[in-house]
Amino acid sequence: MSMRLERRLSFTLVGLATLLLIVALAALSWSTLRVVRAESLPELQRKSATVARTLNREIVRALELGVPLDGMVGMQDFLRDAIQPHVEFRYAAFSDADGTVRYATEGLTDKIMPVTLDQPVARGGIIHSSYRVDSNGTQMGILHIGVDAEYFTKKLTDIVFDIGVTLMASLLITFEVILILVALSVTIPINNITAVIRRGILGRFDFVVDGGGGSGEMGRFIKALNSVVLTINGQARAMAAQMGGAASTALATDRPRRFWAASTLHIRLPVFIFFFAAELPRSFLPLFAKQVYRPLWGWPEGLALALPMSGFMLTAVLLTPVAGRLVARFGSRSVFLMGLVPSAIGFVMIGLSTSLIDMTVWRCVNAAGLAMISMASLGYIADVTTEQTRAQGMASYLGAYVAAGVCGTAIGAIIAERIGFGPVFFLSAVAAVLSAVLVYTFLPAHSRTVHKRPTAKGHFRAVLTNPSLMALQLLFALPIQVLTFGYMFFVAPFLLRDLGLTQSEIGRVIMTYYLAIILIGPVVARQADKLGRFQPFIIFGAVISGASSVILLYHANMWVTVASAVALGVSTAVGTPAAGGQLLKICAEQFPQVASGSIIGVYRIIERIGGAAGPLIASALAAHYGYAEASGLIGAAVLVAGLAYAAATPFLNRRPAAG
Amino acid sequence: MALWFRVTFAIWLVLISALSLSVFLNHAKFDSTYAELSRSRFQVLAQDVRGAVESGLELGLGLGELRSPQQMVERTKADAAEIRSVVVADSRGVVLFDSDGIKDDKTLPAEQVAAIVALGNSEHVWSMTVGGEVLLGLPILNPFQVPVGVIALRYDASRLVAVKDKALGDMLEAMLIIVAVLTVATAPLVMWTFAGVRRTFLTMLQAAAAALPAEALAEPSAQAVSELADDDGAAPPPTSDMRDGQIPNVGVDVADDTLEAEFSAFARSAAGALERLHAAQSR
Repeated sequence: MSMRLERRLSFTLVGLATLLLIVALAALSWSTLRVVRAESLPELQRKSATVARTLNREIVRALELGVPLDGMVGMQDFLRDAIQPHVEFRYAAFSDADGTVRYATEGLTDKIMPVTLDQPVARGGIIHSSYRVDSNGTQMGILHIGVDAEYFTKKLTDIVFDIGVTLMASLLITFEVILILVALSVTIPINNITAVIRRGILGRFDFVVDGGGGSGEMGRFIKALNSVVLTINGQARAMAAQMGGAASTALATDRPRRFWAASTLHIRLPVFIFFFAAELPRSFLPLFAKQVYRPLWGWPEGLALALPMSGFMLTAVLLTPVAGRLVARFGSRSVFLMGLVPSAIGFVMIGLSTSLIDMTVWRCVNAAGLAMISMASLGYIADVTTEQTRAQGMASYLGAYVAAGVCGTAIGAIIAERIGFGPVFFLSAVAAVLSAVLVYTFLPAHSRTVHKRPTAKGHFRAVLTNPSLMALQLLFALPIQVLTFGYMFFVAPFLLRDLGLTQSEIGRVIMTYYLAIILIGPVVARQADKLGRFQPFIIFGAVISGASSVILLYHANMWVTVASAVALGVSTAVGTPAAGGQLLKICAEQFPQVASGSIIGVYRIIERIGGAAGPLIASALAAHYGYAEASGLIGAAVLVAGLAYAAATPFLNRRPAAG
Repeated sequence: MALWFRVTFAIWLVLISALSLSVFLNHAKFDSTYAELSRSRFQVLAQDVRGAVESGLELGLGLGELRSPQQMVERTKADAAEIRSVVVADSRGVVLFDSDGIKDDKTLPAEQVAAIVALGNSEHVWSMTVGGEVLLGLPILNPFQVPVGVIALRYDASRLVAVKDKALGDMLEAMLIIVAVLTVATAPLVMWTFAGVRRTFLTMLQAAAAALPAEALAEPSAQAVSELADDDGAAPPPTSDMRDGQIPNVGVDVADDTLEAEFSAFARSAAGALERLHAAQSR
C-alpha cells in the first residue's frame, strides 16, 4: 500500500512541479521578451540616427563639392561599408524626396522606400527610418536605414541553452526534493505505522510511532495509534506489577519505546546539496587556477596548475581513514556537521584566493570537509542498511552525487560566466550551510548511530598481493581515475577554452559526462546484476573510456569533445558499478574471513590516488604535447590497460580460491 | 505543519530559485547587449572623428598641425546629449583638441593612452567605466598604420543604468506575478494530490472510534509520556529487519495487505487485549 501510495504521490507531484516549472519559465520568457523589446527599440533608433548623421555629412560634402546626385560613383560600397560593422543593421539606401531609390546596399529590392521622417515604422521585423539630406537649405534626398527589430530578441536566444540547463537542473532538484519529501512525510511514517500495527497484531504493544504525519489526518491517526499502544502497554505493565509477573495476558510488558526506522533517504538531500556545492566550480577550477597563477619556485606552469586539484584529492585520500575513525567515535550526524565547517570555510577562502598557494591550501581544507562528509554519509548508509539493501543504499548515494554533478557543473559555469569565478565559491559555501541545516533537520539527534567500523590496517598487503585485486586496481580503477581527473576535470576546461567556447558552454560539455552516467548507469547496473558477470562490463568500460579520448588525437573540436565526454560517462556508468560488483565477488570468494568493508576501503584509497595523480600526469603531458594530445595519450594508456585486463581475465578466473 | 503545505512550500522554493536564476541570466544578457549597443553608437561618432583626423594625416600634416579636428570634436559632442567630452591627444597623451576648448598642459593618463595605442590597427575599441561615465578610446593611425595619437570620448552612463534598472524591475515584477499566480494554483492541486492519503487516515480514524473503547483512544497518561521522553532512541532498531524504513516481516499473515485491512486486524487485536486485561483485573 505504502509503496503504491508513494509512487503515485511522487509521480503526480513531480509531474505537477514539472508542468508548473515549464509554464513559469515560458511565461517569464514571454514577458522578458516584451520588456526587452520595449526597452531596446529607442536605443536601436538612436543608433540608426547616429549612423545616418555620419552618412549624411559625407553625402552633403560630396554634393557641395559638385558631385551630381546620379553620378555618385561607389555609393553602394560606401553605404555597405557604413552598415557592415553593425550586425543589427539590415540595409541603407539613398532616395529622392519621393522615396524612389537611387542607391542601396545589396539585397534591398524595393524600388520605392516609405518616407517616414521623424516617425520610424516597424514592418516585416525591420524598423524603417528615413532622414532628410539637405544641402544649402534644399532637400537633396532621403537616407533610409533598416534595423532588425528582433535584434535583442535574437540575442536573448543565445542564452536559450542556459535557460534549458536551468530548467533541467530545476527539474532534477524538484525530483530530489519531492522524492525525499514524500518519502519522509508519507512513505517512512506509513512504514513506521505499519511496523507498529503489525507488532500490535501479534499482541506486542511496545512501540509507538515516533513523530511524523504533520497536523493533518495522518498526524491525528498516529496520535490515536500511539494512545492505543500506550494504554494497553500501561495497563499490561500495571497488571504485571500488581500480579508480580503472574498475569497471563500474553501481552508485552516492556517499557514503551519510540519506533524510528532510519533510512538512507534521510541523508540523500543533504548529500545532494553538499555535492551540488562541491560541483559548482567543477568546470572552471583549472581556469581559476590559471587566473591566479604566478610563477612558483621555478615549477613548470602546468604542474603548478594541477596543484589545487591534486592536493585536494591527496588530502582527501590521506584523511579518509581519520574521518572513518571520527565517524566511529562521534557518529555520522556529528561528523557530517563537523565536516561542513572546513568545507564552508574552504569554499569562502578559495573564492578569496589571490595566489595558487592560497588556493591549494584552502582546497586541502575543503578536502578535509569532503573526507569527513563522504565517510559520514557512507557510515550512515552502512548503518541503516542490511547486506541485502546496502547496494541500493550506495546507489542512492551515487545517484545524489551524479545528479548534483549534472546540476552543479552546468549552473556553476553559467553563473561564473556572469559574475566571475570567485563568487561562485561563495555560493558553494551557502549551499554547504544549507546542507548543514538539512542534516540538522532530517537526521534527528536521537538517530545518532555510533558504530565500530573495520579498519583497513593490515589489509593493504592483501590487496597489493592478490592478482585479481591488483588487476582490477591497476588495469581498471586507477587508469579510469587518472583519465577522469586528468582529462575530464583538468585538461578539458583548458582544451575547450582554447577551442573558443564560453564558460557556459564548457560547463555544458562537462555536464554531458554526468548526464550520460545518470541516464545509462541504472539500466546497465541492473543488467550486470542480472547476468552476475561483471568482467565483460569492466572491459567494455575501460576500452570505451580509453577510446573516448583517443579520438582527440585525430580531431579536437567541440562536438568531438562532447562525444568524448558522453562516451566517458557511458563507460564510467558501465564499468564502475561492475568493478564494485567484481570487487565484492573477489572479497567473497578469496577473502571469506575478511570484512569486505576493509578491502573496499583500501581499494578506494588506492583508486583515489589515481584521481590525485591524474591532473599531474595530464599537465606534464600537456606541457610537451598539447591538451588534446595529452588527453589522447592518457586515453591510449587506459585502452591498453583495458585490453590487458581482457587478456588477463581467463587466467584470473582460473585461479583457485584463496583463504 | 500540514503535508500539503510542506510540499507546496518546497515546490514554491524550487520555482522561485529557477525563476530567479532565469531573471538573472536574462537580465545579464540584456545588460551586456544593451551596453554593447550603446557603446557601438558612441563608437560610430568616435570613428567619424578618427576618419576626419586620419584624412588630414594622409595629406602629410602632423597631428598638431591639423585645424579641422577642433570643430569636429565640438560638433561630435553636440551630437548626443550624453557626451561629456571628446578629445584628441598625441601618443604621449597631451591633449591637442578638446570639445571643451583647449587648456594648457592637459594630458590623458599614461596607462589609458598606452592601452588605447596598444590596439594598433585592430577593429577593437578600448573602454572603461568610471563612476557613472564610460570612457571610450580609439587609436589614430598615420598612413603607415603607426599609432600617432588617440581619441577619447567620455559619455554619461546614467541613462544606460536607468534602462537596465527599469528592465530588471519589470522582469522581477513579471516574476512575482507568475509566482503569485502559480502559488495560488499549486496549493489546491497539491491538496487534491494528498486527498487519497487524507481519506485513508480518516477512514482508519473512524474505524478506530468504532472498534475500540474510548479509554484506548484517550490521551496517554503523564507517566507514559514522560517515560517516552526519557527514551533516548540511541539504541539500534529492535530487529534487524526493521532497518532502512522497510516494513518488517513479523510473520503476520494478512489476506489483504492494505493499511486499512492491517489496521482492522490491529484494532481487533487491541480490543482483544483490552478485554483480556479487564478480565484479568476483574479476577
